[in-house]
Amino acid sequence: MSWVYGLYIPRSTIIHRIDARVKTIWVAFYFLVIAFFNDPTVSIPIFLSIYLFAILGRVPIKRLLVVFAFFASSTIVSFASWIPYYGNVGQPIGTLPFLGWPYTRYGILYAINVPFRIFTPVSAIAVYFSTTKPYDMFQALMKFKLPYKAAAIESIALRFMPVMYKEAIEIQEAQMSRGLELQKGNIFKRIRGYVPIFIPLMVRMLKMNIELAMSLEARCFGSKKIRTFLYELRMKWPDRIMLAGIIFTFVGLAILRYGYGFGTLNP
Amino acid sequence: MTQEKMSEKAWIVPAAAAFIVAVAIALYMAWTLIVQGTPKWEVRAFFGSLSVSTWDIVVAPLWIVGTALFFLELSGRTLKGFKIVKYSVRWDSVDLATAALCAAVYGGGLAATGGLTIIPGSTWIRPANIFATLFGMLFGIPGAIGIAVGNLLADSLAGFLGWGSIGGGFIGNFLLAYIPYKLVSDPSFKRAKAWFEYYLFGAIGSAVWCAFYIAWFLAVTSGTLTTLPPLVAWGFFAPFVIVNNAIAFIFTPLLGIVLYPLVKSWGLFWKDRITYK
Repeated sequence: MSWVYGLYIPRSTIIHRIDARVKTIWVAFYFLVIAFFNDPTVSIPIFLSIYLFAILGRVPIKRLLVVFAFFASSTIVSFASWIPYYGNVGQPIGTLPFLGWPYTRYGILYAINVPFRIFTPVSAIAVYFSTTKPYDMFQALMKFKLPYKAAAIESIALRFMPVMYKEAIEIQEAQMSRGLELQKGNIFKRIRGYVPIFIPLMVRMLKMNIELAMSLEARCFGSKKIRTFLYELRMKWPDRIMLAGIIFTFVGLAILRYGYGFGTLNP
Repeated sequence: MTQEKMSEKAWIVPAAAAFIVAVAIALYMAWTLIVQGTPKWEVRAFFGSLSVSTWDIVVAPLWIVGTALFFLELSGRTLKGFKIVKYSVRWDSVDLATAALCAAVYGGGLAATGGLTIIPGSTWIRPANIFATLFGMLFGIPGAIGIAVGNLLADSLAGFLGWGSIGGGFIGNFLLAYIPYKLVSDPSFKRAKAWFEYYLFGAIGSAVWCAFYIAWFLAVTSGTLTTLPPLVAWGFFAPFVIVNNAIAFIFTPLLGIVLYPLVKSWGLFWKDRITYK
């Protein structure tokens, strides 16, 4: 669980230096573009292109392992659900052993495509969190006209998630040293076992709530309607080049997909 | 005997009944899942007995109403009884800190168990759901917003982020907290009526509404934006989410009883922080 030590990994790479607004658009690009296509021959290169950015940003492989940890199970579920679902779409090329379900080329290719559609946004967001400072992320969200209180909720929550997680682990270890059993019993007993962890955690959260509110007040939070920043985000020429590249690629892929039917499977 | 005491006594039987029904549903769903296994799970078979288009049509109003309620609250209006009234959440530093920390606790708790996958890319075993109804009842709208944001962050960190997280999970989780916030009158659980309201609306109602809300979005956008076949969204996803939520929600009153006095005394209880116009 590398994220418990904080999501941002400080490095001096070209990806880290890219403007946070451009990186936010980059994540949105993957969200949108991967939904265009259902042909794995197009989805797989799109998915892999994220890893080019990950390499350039020197994102540790452990951070991206979350994607591969679920890849096998996701592929199995995709095959088990989509192959029978599209068993009648296109020409059957055989039947599944034991189950007797017919399968088609369309069904198989669709099932291969699904895990890439799931993990493309996940990989993009992992690279984004690893290479973007929370302060810049907050500013970028505000520049996209998200109300600054909403942006603050998101960035404070991201900042405090690792803190709360560490608190929870400490409380859990303390309670277990007092004899709390979490590994034995049925699902009800196990969930009930979390109650002595959750109560001190909540009390800690309430104290933090007051402390955080006081520190926000001390910094004159909400005193002015317009939020200013000490370090404003500024677009430089590499940012503009990357933004132009994203827009160009997006428009190009959209034209290919909706104008020429590129990247769609035909039964 | 005062009228209040008589009315309190009258709520004991309905409260006990609601508690038994909620526990029975959660136990039955969990037990049959463990004993029968996923492929032969009779709850799944029940959900699969209705056609996909029937589910899509029947549940559509729940999705529309849920979305409308979310935007109604964002616009500074709320339902009071059957009327829409204007109200104001201060959104000062305390409300903001509350929403952010609710998101942090819920998101961190969910992400911590992200490895316990039920349906890859869609859902996982989530004991931290115990917080969802609690935060709604104690903190009101800031708590509900925190739950929605926390779910989105957990999806990002645990490897479940997708269009379903935005179109279904965000408002679906908001509803988990919102329904008990609106319908449970006493989160201290000192009155039998509160137990009745909680188990009927908070535990069963919000668990079912959240599951249906997300499953509807997944089913309707299947193949275009999301990746679960509609049959799986209704036949697997919806019953799994219900059982996941229902089990966690049974224990929420234990937390409510202990934490309500603290929340109230520190001035964080939503009724002390909201003004109707």
